[in-house]
Amino acid sequence: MFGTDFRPIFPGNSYPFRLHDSMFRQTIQKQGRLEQREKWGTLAENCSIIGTYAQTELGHGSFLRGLETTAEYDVRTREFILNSPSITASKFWPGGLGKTANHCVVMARLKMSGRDCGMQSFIVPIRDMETHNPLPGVTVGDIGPKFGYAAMDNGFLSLNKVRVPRENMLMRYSQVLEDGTFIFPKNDRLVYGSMTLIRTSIVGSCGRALAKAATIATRYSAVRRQSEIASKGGEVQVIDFQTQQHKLFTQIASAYALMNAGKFAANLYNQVSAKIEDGQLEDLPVLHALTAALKAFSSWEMASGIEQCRMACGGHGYLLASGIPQIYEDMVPACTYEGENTVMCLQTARFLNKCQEATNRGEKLPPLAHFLQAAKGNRKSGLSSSMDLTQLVAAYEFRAATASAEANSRLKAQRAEGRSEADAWNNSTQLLVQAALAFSHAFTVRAFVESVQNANFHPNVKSVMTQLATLYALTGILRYCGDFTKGGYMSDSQIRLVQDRFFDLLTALRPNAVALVDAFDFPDQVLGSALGRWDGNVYEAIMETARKSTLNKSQVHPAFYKYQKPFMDSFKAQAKL
Amino acid sequence: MAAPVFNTNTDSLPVNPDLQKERATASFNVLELTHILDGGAEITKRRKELEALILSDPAFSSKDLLYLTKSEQYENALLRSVKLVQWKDKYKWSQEDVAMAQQINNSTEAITLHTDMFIPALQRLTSEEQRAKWLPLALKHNIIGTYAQTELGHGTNLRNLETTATFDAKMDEFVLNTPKITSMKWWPGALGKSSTHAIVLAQLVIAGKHHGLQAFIIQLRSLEDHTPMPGITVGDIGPKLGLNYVDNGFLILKNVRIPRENMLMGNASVSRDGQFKQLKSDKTNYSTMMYVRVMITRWAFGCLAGSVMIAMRYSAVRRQLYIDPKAGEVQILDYQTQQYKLFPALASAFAIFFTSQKLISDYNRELQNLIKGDKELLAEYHSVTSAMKAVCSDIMTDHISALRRSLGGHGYMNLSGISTAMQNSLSLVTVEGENTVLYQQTARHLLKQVARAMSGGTLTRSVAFLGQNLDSVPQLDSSEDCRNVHLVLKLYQKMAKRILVQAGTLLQTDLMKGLPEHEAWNKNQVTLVRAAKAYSLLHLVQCNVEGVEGLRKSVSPELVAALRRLCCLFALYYLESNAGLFMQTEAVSPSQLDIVRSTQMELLSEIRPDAVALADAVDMPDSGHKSVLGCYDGNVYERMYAAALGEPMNKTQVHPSYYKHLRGMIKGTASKL
Repeated sequence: MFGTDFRPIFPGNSYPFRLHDSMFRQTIQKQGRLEQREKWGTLAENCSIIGTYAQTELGHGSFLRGLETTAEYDVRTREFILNSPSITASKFWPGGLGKTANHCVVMARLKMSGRDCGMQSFIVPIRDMETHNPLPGVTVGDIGPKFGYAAMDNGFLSLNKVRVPRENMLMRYSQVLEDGTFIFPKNDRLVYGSMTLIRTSIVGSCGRALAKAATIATRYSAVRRQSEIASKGGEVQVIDFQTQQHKLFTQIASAYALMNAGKFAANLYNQVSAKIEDGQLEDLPVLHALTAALKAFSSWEMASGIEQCRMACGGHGYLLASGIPQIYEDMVPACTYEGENTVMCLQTARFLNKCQEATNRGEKLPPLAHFLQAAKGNRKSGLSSSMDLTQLVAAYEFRAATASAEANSRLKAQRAEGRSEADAWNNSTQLLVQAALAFSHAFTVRAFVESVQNANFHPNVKSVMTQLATLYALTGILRYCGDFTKGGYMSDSQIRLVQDRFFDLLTALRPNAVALVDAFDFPDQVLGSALGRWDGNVYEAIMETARKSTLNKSQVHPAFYKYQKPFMDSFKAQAKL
Repeated sequence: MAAPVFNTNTDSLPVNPDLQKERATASFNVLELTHILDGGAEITKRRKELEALILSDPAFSSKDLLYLTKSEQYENALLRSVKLVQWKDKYKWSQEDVAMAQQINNSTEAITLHTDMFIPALQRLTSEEQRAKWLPLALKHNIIGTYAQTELGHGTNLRNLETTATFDAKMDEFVLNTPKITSMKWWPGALGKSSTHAIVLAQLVIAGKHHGLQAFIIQLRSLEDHTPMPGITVGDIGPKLGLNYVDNGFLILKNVRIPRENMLMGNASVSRDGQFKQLKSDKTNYSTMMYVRVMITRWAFGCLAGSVMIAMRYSAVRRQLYIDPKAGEVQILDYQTQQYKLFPALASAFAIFFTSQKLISDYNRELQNLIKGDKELLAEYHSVTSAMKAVCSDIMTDHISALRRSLGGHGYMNLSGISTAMQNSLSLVTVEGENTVLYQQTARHLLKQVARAMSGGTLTRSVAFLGQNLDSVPQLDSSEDCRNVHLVLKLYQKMAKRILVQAGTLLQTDLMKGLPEHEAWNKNQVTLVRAAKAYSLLHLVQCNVEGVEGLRKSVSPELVAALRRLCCLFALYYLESNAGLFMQTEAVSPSQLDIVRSTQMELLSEIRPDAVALADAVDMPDSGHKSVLGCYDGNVYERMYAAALGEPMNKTQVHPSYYKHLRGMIKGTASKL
């Protein structure tokens, strides 16, 4: 059920060639014409050129049409002139741009004799192939220290009237002919395909990052003994405390849920892609909507989940030797890159809103959004003490449908009060974001439940995975219990049942907790953690890293002679006077 | 590096027009609010004088500090410690001045425990002769000390610390040992490289009999050449998520002998012939511990307020996308979703401020009674300070992390200031009492009060609501009701009372079933922590409401109105995010929750015109927060570009690693394996 298909080769994302592999070569393949793919693609594949992809600028990220870098065509010399007209137009952030790359795909606004021809991509050589020095007109460098990603030379780039031949514009869709004729693309919706794929892969990566943190915190909690439950009963493993189980087991469940959601989304992507190759585009909107908010949901869940795991390790979680800060620093940018999360949720919300309006008109919805019709009528949850998984899925779909209907009615009410469409939308965005997240949460719960029900597990595995899926669903019901009791959908006594079952599940999962994280099978080298070691010798490992601290190179730090000794001596001298 | 393409002289730029407009349209006078936050106009003036002195010194304000290695960071922090002491002596600083200087410096010195823990312990735990001997040495910095309690294997459970001090009657000495790997002292600040002495907590053993934890003063390093003394292994514990400028240390003791007089004998004594005597139980210890927790709420305010200030200014300067497709790009501060990230954080900062202010004034008023050991008072104050330390640090870390993300990619740069603020502040949820442990301590106290309320006993101030009949509190039926913070406060009380009673009932039921107390407690642990959190939220809302109302007579009506909006947003935001608590107790119904939501959205629009001014009032100078995104004049892009040019990797156009690794690959001459 949790396949290895998206497992990255490198343990982290932070290495200088990452964009050469993932974006530079990809962009040439997707947007280059055959002869461009042959020329540049081959050079890139052989690493004869090292490239990166420069889109984001100092002043602009989310709003692509606001990018300021320009490319003007000079018919006389058949060249493009690329320019960064202001400080905010400097490219900023691309990985590998600072010191590593000698070529770069630059996104720039194409101008043809003053006419705006939209965003196009250009291959721009930025460093000399002999000396690696920046080429004339190119200012390039590293952007400085960051929260994490220290191994990556994220860069800035300003171009001062840099000329590249006409053939350096990637022309699979739009074209500029020698005489300066601009040919518009036939269909540019397909360009979005690669964004969807990247977002899909982020979902699974978030799950794996959380799984690493949960592995570390769970193993450490089994080794760490602190305080007593019964007085004189001796110190217990901290994993025996109910509050610790609550912190850990909900995150183990969340890690499994997100990894699984990533796999479901990837399968969906493959199905839809196959249809697109046959020219059927009707599933593209729902796929785009699903992956956008799912990327936001999973990265936010991951970020808060990893922090919870780190704090569950007490003070030692604050040591870099715990490994968790590194996991957090490397993965938390997922909330921002490849589509800022709030912006992503609002894209999904636009789709949900269209679905609401279609429902109101009595039209049918696409299969993945079918349940949004569920908000109609006075519904009651059929959840009983058996905690039937199908009932739990129905509850999440009810919540998503209600949230989406509420956001839609707020929007309509705002319009009815006479607000402009723009203001009505902005005044409803917080509810719209919540609806998009509820939609993703429902998808994640359904995916988890279906995979547990359909997989061909050994009965023992099936039993524990069912417990875990149930725990995952109950956690959300307790967290958002207001949403689930709306309109009397769930009663107080049903919520009490949920709560009782939730605590019973913590006890039931306790014996298998370590096995559940061991099953992720991260080698110690990948976890990079003194606390999460497979063999549990955590104290020896922490001590070993401490000994290597740079401050311990000498018994007395040089700063002692420089500042502390003269300081203490000055007081001694005073005492003698 | 080649000459910069764009202007990087950031001192010569005009204030960003968007920020100018924000400041011009605020409804109240910013300085008035700054005075409230500082504690008075005089204190603001003094703060500015100290800022001018401290932040003009390169050790405190150099832009290159961002690029230092761990070892260089320590060296710089040591220099800061030395300078602060020198200034204190030179300018005859008062205690308040010293505290303010620390605040200006965000406590980023290497040696803080010498004054914060070592000296107070010498004052508190010593006999008179011991005080006469050690205190002058410490005050004159002839010795530098720290306080070593936590071990590698134990933090929370003090009784199980493993370091031993065995009395050798023949030699009249104690022999100190850390027998196992888990017994070594671990974490104390300034222990690694700076301190010459430490107060070490160890289990006292006399003739095979244990006499509990006692404090011993141990010389760690030679006063001549600073090398470790025989039997002592000491060093730095290595890189951390933040606070890398402090040499948190480890300490291994192997048969370290100290004279009998080095046990601190203020509370217990060991005589020449090995007789142990408990003289008194130490209550002052509690008051210090509670004071530190109160100070943490104050730091939590400072960290959160500074981060909000940065995020607010940047959100006013940053323009991205549009609301109306036909109009131009808008300030991201105009997006409702951005407001919903920033304004609740701002409101939380103020709620923490008013809470912290109340805790500090209560502490000062009651200090004498606390020291005397008034049992009621100690229990009450202990419960409140534990809960407030936990809830304020929890709320702060949640918001700072969300604020960092609200700044998009640029928030991930260390130049943003928030990423470093976040890393350093994250330690507050663990230090001085791990939050989950603290919530349980409060829960224990509260359940006793519930029982007392049920039997009609008298109740202390912070739990007086348990004795009130809250069944007939009116419901929230309109936006006006939601804006009535006194009514909302009543609903918080109703919710907290019922949650506590329900938690108590669950525990009681398990006890009646015959479950031993410890099992019943652990079985209901999550429920109990949840109940203590419910109470903590109530207390925050109450302090916030009282704090704002208390300003009514002395402050302009416009400012009171602005603060009331924040106070109201805070109460409603946490009501919604804890809707389960309110619905479970029938304090709020699902349909009323919709009104709570829409009132919050109204409040966002009303707060919007004052947002930058409210954040400006925090008044942290640029040289103090060092954030390029949060600079007062809003010229963020110029500053980011200028700072990037200063990155050490840009010293050469071609990085040395090009010749080492990259060139061979590009040229196809890399050796084939």
